Amino acid sequence: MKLFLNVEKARIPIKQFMTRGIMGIDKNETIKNACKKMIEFGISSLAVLENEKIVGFLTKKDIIDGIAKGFSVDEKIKKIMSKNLVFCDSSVPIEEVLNIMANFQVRHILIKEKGEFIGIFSLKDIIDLQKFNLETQISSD
Amino acid sequence: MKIAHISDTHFPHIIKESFDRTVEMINNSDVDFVIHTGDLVDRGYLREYEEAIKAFSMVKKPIIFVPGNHDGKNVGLKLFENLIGPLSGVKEGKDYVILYLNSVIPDMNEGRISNSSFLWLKEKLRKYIDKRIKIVSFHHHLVPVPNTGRERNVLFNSGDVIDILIKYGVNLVLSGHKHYPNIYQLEDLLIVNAGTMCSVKTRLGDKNSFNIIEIDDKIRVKTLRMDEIRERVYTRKKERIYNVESEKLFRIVQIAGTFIDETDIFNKKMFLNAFKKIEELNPDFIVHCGDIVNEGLIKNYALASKYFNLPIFFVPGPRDINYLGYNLFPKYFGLKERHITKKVAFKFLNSSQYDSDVGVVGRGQLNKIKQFSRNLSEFKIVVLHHNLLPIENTREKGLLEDAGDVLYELTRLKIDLVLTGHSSHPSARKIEDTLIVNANSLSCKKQRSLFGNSFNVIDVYKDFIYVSEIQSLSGSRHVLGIWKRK
Repeated sequence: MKLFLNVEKARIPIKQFMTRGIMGIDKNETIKNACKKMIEFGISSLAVLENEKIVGFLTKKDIIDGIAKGFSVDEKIKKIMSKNLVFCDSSVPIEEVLNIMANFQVRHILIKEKGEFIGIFSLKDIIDLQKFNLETQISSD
Repeated sequence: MKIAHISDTHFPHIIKESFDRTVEMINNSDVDFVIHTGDLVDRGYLREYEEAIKAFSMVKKPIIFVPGNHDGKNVGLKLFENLIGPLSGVKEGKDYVILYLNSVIPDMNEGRISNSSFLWLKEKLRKYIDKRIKIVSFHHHLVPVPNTGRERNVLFNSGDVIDILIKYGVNLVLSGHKHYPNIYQLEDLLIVNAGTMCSVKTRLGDKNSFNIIEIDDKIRVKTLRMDEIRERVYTRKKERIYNVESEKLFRIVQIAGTFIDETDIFNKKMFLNAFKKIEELNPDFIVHCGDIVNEGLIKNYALASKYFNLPIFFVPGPRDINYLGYNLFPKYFGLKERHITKKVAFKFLNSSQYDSDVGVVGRGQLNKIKQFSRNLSEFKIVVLHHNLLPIENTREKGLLEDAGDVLYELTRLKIDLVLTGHSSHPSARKIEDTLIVNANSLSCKKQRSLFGNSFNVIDVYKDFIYVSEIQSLSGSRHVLGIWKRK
């Protein structure tokens, strides 16, 4: 991923790149409903909530893995969610955040500020920007 | 921490009574220091500086002086540096930092944070990112201020400045310039403009004033006009997690800048792909915020009418009404005034004038907004072409000439959502209780976003508003922001 960033950009805190606000879903909702909500909001991850507190994380990949393992779409998401939350503080430079994400092999990371979850960063955010160069060429044909 | 925020003294044209009284109040108060947000003197002359220095020697608290456009007249900034202090600097405390900088373009009323100052600001914000309280100060106002007439001299690049201040979590911006005290909360950033402390140049027959700002876990701003005190208290928003189970009320697709014509400024492929996606999204309403055609010519209007097959609400941009467009727009697209249902009400404004990029709402339409705000719909939306807030990556030229008053009324009336479509760059910001969303150009080759041509989807849920931007070409979607509903 480092290829995408120049040295100057790499020092910028993740605060600059993250999305403020996190979409959450109750842990007792079904896998099917989680899929519907991901489509509705155009996102590929959801924070999993218990009494409005984040207790897990669910990505498209968790769902595909779950289905492949034989879980039915009517089962509860708490069965397939990741219980280990990967997060960092909002002041960490993006270069370091990308390292953390690579080490944990995740595509999404939760962002904390003053001890509270405030946002999320996804690799897709960077890829979307990079795609632009390519698309400009395609569209000018 | 307590700060006295004074501004625009304009020596030697002062009302001595106001000056003396303010100094006495400051000296007798427990403020930690004073910040003067520019226009210390009126013409930048040596005599004026000497008089100001003598007068300010009466103040018994430390003072930070920020340069203003009047201080820079007649090469006055050199004198400012020699006699008053540096044009920019840092004041650091245990849990706070104040960054002040020069926004003056010599001999001009307009302001600008120059490229090097902007980089300096960025570097300092990075360095002090862990400070609990971050305050930035410069002379020119960051967003349009009410009751100040034609709104043509905010900072050239205030859109970029706003963006960086919000992204780095700055708490407070202190400015002056317009001689009218005003406070806005823009996202988590509190924007405080001071009135004039002692100059004869007041607006609306207003009195001289200054602010006392107290910061602990909340920010309290007291505006002290000579015989009255107004206080407002702000806290940062806490809501950060939004439950997807909230009831969905309706979906709006917001587009702008289609620029339809026969030349290659109109990117047909972008347009067709975007509309394929829009149909898929199945919106309840589609709103076009103007610049439908590239120029207001018959052939463009005739072409454009073939492209729009879905029901759309249109407001005109300046492109639509130049040449013959003024007559063609109502004929082809209709100039609807409002659309009201129980759930949602739209008010459409024409802010465009022909042969001018500058927009105007005017008093007549402003009165109609006031009437509109009294309707009983649960959610009220105002749609116009021109920008009310500066947009990142653009010079502030897209603003309305009466942006100060229009912004004030829309926020005062607690309009839920304002949709605009100038400047070819997406933006979504909440100011006070009003969310203002700007759409990028959907299919014009000239656009300014790294994400490419795009349009916005605004989903209104019972508990929050979810705004995302969709690339015209690929249909990729990314979130511009989520805001709790009041």
